[in-house]
Amino acid sequence: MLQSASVSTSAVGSRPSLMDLSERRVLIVDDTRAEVDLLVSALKGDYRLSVALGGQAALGLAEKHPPDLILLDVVMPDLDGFEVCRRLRENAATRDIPIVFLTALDEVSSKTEGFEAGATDYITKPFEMLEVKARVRSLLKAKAYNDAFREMVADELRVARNIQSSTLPHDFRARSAGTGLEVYAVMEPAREVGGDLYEVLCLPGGRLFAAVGDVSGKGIPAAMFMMVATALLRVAARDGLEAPELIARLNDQLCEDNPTSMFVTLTCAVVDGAAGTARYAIAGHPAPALLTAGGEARLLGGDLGTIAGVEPGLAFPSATLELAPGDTFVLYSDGVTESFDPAGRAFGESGLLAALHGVRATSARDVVERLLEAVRASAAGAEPSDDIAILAVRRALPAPLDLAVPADRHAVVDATARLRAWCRTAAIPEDAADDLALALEEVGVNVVVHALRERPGAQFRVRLRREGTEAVLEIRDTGPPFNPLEAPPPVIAGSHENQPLGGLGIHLVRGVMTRAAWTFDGGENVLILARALDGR
Amino acid sequence: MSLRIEIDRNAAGAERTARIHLAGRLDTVTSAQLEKELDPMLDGRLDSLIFDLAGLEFISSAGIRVLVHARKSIQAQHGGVLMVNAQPQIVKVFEIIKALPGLTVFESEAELDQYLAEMQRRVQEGR
Repeated sequence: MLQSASVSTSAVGSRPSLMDLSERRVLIVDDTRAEVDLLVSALKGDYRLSVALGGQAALGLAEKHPPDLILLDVVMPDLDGFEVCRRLRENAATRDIPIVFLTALDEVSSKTEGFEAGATDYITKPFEMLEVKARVRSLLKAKAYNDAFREMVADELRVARNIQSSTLPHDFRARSAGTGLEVYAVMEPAREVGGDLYEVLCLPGGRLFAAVGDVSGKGIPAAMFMMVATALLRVAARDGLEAPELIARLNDQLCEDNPTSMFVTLTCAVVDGAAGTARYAIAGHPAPALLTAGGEARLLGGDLGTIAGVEPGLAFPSATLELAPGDTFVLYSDGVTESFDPAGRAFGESGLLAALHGVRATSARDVVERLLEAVRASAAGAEPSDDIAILAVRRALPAPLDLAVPADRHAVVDATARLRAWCRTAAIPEDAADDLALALEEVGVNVVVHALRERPGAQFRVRLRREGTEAVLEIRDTGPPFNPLEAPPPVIAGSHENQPLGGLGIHLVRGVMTRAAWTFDGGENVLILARALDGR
Repeated sequence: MSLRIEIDRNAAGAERTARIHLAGRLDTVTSAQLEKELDPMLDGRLDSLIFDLAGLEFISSAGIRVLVHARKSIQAQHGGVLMVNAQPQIVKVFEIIKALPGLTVFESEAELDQYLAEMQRRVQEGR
């Protein structure tokens, strides 16, 4: 108390305008002109004044330009003073303005009703003008001190918020460089500072450490514990611990000196972008989610360890997730699932899955922003009940293969070599790469020989991309319209050995591909060949 | 990657059999190379061509055509074009085109040996 008093005095002293009340504004509300004139003439030399001649007008003025004090008549024709007072107290913009009732109603019951409506003071008519002036001055002074104190606290919280925010990493690109992964995260405190945390670190060997945590409670105590937990977590992660060992160590360290029995829940993961695995461990934290490249969302099971910081010496189980290129691993705090809409319904795990389901994410940031957007939309302006942290790790997809291939057999063979190299970067299984290379050679040779007739300078286009659980090969040529898929199957089984083996190539293509489609589009033959990648 | 061809005449002690080792790729470009190597051998004196495909990593329809062509040129009563030691992706291609007459894929050397022994026996029996 002493401390805060001395702090506020120094803050007050630094603001010369504080003791000068002449800039303070008083709103006078009365439907009787004579009363208004009396108050105006008494106060106009000391303060800035506004006047409202009715309850509705008073509400409008107060909301638009909140005054520092309101002198409020009770009996008014449109809206009585008690009601005006109640409404002002319900509005965040006018909630803290001192309100003084000035009225001829002097029964105790009226005064009681006034205070219940939220009055700061109550003066009965006929009043002594000197008393009114003294009370106004006293209340304005108190308001000025209060304002200065609030401003100082708000300033400190703003700085605290910046400090807290700056302890969380934001240089996601730098931290995930060379890992074959993308990462993005947000932390939104419900108040100025919060207890949610996240961490992202590049580990030796191109692996990525990622964590999301949530400290018990909210506000300043949670924020301070969060800073301790973040620092310990970071040191442990830099030591290269695997997720379960890391959580075990953090648990022991938090237990060591924890007089307030605060605790933290968290999910930690070590993600290997080259191998496509994420090994994670959970301490009392919501189950992470997986969003596949194909847009399928699900919550990940796995053993739940208990919260960290309460019981030392615990071991934490771990689980390993396979992460295909384009898959996104999503960590979040319960501020997501326990975000409430104005009717009090929780966003829930179902809201989380619904927000992610069907999303063909373009980046980790895309996933985080969509989820945050969905939480905000569901809250529909209701005040957040808890801090929100979301972190997404996405296994990067290589850019699609795109080749212009000259109308020459050697070029076709070169193109199949480049296709294979691309397949390795896209983690396409070897057997699928074999099939795609075969399809490209067969179709490519047909294009070169028949469609383009090995014309010098002629080219055709080859594109290959991962799309959900398929590799999609697209071959475009500018030859005459021809649908190779309509070619009759070759006669193979008979013993007519002199019969030419026509259509053998396209027969092989059909045999190794999952689906095939031909269109003639914009003067080009477009052949789409897809190969399933889900262990057909 | 290109195609490597090694030809072993009189394989398996049989005069009218050649064993050919293929390694690398048998594709639209390299199939001409194999065709050229095989051409002098396709003069009707051989009963069987055994292709050892242990080192073969890729085959396309162009390669299959060369094998079919070789088969047509071998006027064998008892042999044919025999293939052994094929890798899974090669086996898959032969499975898609199913049985080509006179082109036989053996799953193992043992299976091939058994077939060759049977053929030898028939020759000796004067059939």
